[in-house]
Amino acid sequence: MNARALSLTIVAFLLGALAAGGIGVRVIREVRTDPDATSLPLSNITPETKRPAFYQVDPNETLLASTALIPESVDIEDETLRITYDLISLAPQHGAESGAGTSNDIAVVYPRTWVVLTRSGSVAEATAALGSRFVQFDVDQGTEVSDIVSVSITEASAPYPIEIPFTLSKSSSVVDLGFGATAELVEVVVDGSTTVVHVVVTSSDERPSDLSISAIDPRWTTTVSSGATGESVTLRWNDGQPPDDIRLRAFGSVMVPIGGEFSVFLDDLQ
Amino acid sequence: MNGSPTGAGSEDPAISMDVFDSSRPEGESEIPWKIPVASAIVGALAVAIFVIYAIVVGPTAEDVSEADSGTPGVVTPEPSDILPDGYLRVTDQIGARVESVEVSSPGSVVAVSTAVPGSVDPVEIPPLDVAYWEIVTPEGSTPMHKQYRRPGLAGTDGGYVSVAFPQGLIPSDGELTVYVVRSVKTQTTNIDVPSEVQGTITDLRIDLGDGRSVVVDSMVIAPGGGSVAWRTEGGMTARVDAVVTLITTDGTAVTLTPEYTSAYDDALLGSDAVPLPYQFQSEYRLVSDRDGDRDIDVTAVSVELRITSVSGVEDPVALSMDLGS
Repeated sequence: MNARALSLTIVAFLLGALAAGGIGVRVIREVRTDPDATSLPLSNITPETKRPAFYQVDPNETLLASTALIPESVDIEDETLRITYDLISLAPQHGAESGAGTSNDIAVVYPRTWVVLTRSGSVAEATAALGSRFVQFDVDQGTEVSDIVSVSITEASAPYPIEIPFTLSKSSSVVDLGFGATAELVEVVVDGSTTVVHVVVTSSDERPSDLSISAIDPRWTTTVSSGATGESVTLRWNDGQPPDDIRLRAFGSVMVPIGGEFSVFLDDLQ
Repeated sequence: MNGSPTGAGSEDPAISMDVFDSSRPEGESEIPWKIPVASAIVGALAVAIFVIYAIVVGPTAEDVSEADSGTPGVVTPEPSDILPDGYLRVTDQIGARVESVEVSSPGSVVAVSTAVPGSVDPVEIPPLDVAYWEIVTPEGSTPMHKQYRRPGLAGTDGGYVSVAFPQGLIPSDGELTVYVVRSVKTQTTNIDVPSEVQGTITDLRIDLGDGRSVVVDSMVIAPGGGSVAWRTEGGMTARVDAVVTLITTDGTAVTLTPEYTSAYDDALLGSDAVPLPYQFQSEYRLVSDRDGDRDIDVTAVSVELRITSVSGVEDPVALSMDLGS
């Protein structure tokens, strides 16, 4: 092969490569953006994104009120899908140590109900425990992390401060406090000049409140004990006949729903 | 410029004639066409193999995101110096948003959350200090009944504020208007009470000037504890913290302090932890530092009222209560 033929061979090789390259780039773009190209691996499909143009704490965050939920891991083992996350509050909190209001605080928001959609079309729902930083789903055998199409939080709530004044008496022994909480006068025991009254505060599973109770009249002494079904309060009156109506106040936190459905972004963990 | 056919320097006219001479019979070309054509095919095949590999194996989602970052229609998030979506700025650095409106039998509550932009360290920003809230409609305005901040250690309150209104007074077409504190006046009033006047003090009025006053409707004092009920007059809110000291016959002191003091940590004593919210009125218990000890002989009683009253507010900011927006 002489120099002339060698030059032609090199030029022809480059022309062939360039032509194929041009066609190939176009094909790759088509495949990446074609929503029907589901027969290809998930990683070849540009993930559908509803993310805002800006993030507050982390590019993968989901904002639940003023708290950023950030996925940290996603694993499947023995047909159990487990997603762990962190919660970082954006609320002004001057006076707290730097870094407070993050992983070690009490729950600043409660991402309660989660839904996962997989490529097979199955839908798994799970409820996270209050104060936890993970949620677990039962998934079909053989499901892999790459099969997850979407994750969303369908119910979330936040603990809001409240004070609820109310009155209990023998004739009105149950009071709806609102916010899923109820107060009930369960027992009155008279022993000489001392009267002991037992009051129980309960809240629904859907809206777990954290309420304490005290009597407004300081002549009632209050003893509080917590149980599985709610908080039990013992009021003691030592000054003879107590008033028929017992004025009380419930104070603490109630769970307030945060409206909307929230997408959780796991792309970087899949 | 040289116009000679041979003026192209080193170009050999004989070679040019050989290459472009179409009169030469096929198969007799001196150019080895087969090799360049095969080379072009090989080049195309090599690239095609790479393209197939790229499609089948493919880049990661992260690679895709990075590769597409410059193309229109694909969002690449960036850290934000603006407030989260839906939050309306109520101070230089704090935004607020209505999260929920709850109407229940004891009363109605509007739940508000507060946030700073992601570029701001929340620890550097004091919680939102609101003089009062009101619901404004075309028909008029309704002032708050009370406002609550979640008690507890600083940094764990989540920035949530509950604004309570009397039952049935939350119209669906209203806006929640917030008046942030601009200035306050502090005043401490000491009252010596004869020891025989243990029991209930009523209608104690403290003048704050400018037509404003705090009225203590009821103060119950007893060695085992007490209670205070107060309200403001003049249309502005305040914080009123009562501390009662009982001097016993043996010369020791028993102190009664607001029940919420422990929950709010040192906020009552001027710490910058979690400030108490301002109110138009309040009622709370006084608890003794000698818990349960009621059999004490008292020789003197002194009452200290620490009053912080709002003397000025910022321009109001109206928050939407349309939770669908």
